[in-house]
Amino acid sequence: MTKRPLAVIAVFFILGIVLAWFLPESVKFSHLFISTLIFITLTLTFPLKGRVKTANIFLLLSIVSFAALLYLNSNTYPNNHISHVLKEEKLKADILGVIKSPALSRKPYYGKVASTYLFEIEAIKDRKDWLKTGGLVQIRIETEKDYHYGDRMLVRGTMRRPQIRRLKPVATENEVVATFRLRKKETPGFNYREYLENQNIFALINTKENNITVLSHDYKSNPILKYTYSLREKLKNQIIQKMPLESGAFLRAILLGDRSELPKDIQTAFKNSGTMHILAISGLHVALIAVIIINLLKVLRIKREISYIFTMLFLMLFALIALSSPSVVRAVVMSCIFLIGMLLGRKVDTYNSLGAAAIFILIRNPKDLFNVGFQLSFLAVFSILYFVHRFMSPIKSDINFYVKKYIFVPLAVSISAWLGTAPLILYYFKIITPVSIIANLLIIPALFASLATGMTFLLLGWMPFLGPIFAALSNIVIHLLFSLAGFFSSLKFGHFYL
Amino acid sequence: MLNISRFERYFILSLIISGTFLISLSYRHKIISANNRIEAIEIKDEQAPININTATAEQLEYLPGIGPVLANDIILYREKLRLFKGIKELRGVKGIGDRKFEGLRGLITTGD
Repeated sequence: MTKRPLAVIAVFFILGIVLAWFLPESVKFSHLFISTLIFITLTLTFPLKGRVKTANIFLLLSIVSFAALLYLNSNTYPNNHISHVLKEEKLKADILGVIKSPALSRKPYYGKVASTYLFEIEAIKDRKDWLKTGGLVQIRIETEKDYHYGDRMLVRGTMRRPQIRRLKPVATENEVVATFRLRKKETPGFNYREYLENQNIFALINTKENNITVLSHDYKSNPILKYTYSLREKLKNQIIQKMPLESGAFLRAILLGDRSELPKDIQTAFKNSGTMHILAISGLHVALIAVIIINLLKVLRIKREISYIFTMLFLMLFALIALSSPSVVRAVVMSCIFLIGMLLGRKVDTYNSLGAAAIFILIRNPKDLFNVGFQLSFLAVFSILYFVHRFMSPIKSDINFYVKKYIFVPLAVSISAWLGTAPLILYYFKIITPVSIIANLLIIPALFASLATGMTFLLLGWMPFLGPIFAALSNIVIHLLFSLAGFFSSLKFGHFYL
Repeated sequence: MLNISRFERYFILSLIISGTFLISLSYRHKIISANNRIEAIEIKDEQAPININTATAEQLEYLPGIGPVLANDIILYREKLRLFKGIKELRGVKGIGDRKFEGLRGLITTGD
């Protein structure tokens, strides 16, 4: 612990956010502000008397207090913010705002295609007057066409706050689905409103294409985001046009972070085989992509330094394209720190870079601490770091190098990741999946193959003759992965619902 | 517990100080705007009407109720007519009924 300052700071930072979350409402911003100032002054005065240890303790306390301040500020909204304006009931209104993201998801909804976007509200018209307001909401538009980041538009639609418990339509096997009377089932332990509010999304708008007038394009848009998002849209359309539905949807999940169109039965197969993490872009994907690129550049005989810098830039672009979810950002920050360490010829302490990633994400949005993806991602990495060498140390060193590298190490990683995340998965998803330890050993190489073929398809799929070949190749690999997941999910005693 | 040099301690501390300063500015900004009542504003329709005689299919798609297919039909119809003399001629396109046309009124022009 002693030589890992960033890890220690991250732990105290998290402590501060948790503390602020527990604090009663009577504790105001000003109280925390004053306490932070006091701790800072104490940190400054103690080293004068030569008491460095005490100074360090006060430094940690000021970090706790600072994090609490940050969390409190991120939870404060102006009076005219949409979360204050909108009441519990539905509101039918004219809404003026700007699209702030590429399509988050695109899927059929009652027979018609609907896309969702992030939408920043500027004003709403209730009956007569326009009210100036602000805040992010999610907008679902029933449309075949694409809207773009920076489109400023006038929308007529219904706006409501997200449900606290999301009701999922569940069709049992004996039920006739065509009657549209699906039975609804609550997802346990999951608060949809809280989940969205932690991402600063406060309302949902439902509308149709006919009710939208686009006023202008590129309104207050950031050029970097504009180009990455339009690249994302291009890649998405390429996948939709040239790949079969199921494998296309899978490719969109692992490369663009949108798994909305992936059929439910396939998602369930992944869930039951304990390999759901494949479908959400995480450190695994980022690491595999980095490996693919570094090796590709090695084959092209590009200088090591240049290839590392290129890889870092590519990973940052990838994080933006995948809409910078906490787990992607975590992985990209850690890989970049690792690559910088390689460039400078210094060994990077992984706990430290994990801490740096946590601090980076939590400063951007302290509420990400309560995001399931954040928690699983950090817990998995932490337990891999903590357990793997403990598992490996009793294994004798005289066994075959390849057996050790390709069987024992992956097994140890798989077991430690499972140990770290199983309690959390049990809490959130009410499922426990011992099969995942073995399933991961086979599915991760398959994921590597589908990432490699999928990326080739994305880069070269537009070519006239080779394109379909790449598409077919990646399709075959993905179907292999599906059948693996299907096999492991059907094993007896592989998973238990609680 | 925390093994850092003097320089590192002052570095972290200065980051915290500037961070605290920025946070309180942002907080103050939110509170001040909260003291203002919700303000009513005028919205002007900023969109210039789209000229249906010169618009490309992509531009037409931005009109409410017009998708890729209908945009293409409009362009085919325009080629047949050579030019729209008035916006009412748009009604001749299959798929544009009274309701859709009412929705387009004010958003389109023929350029005269």
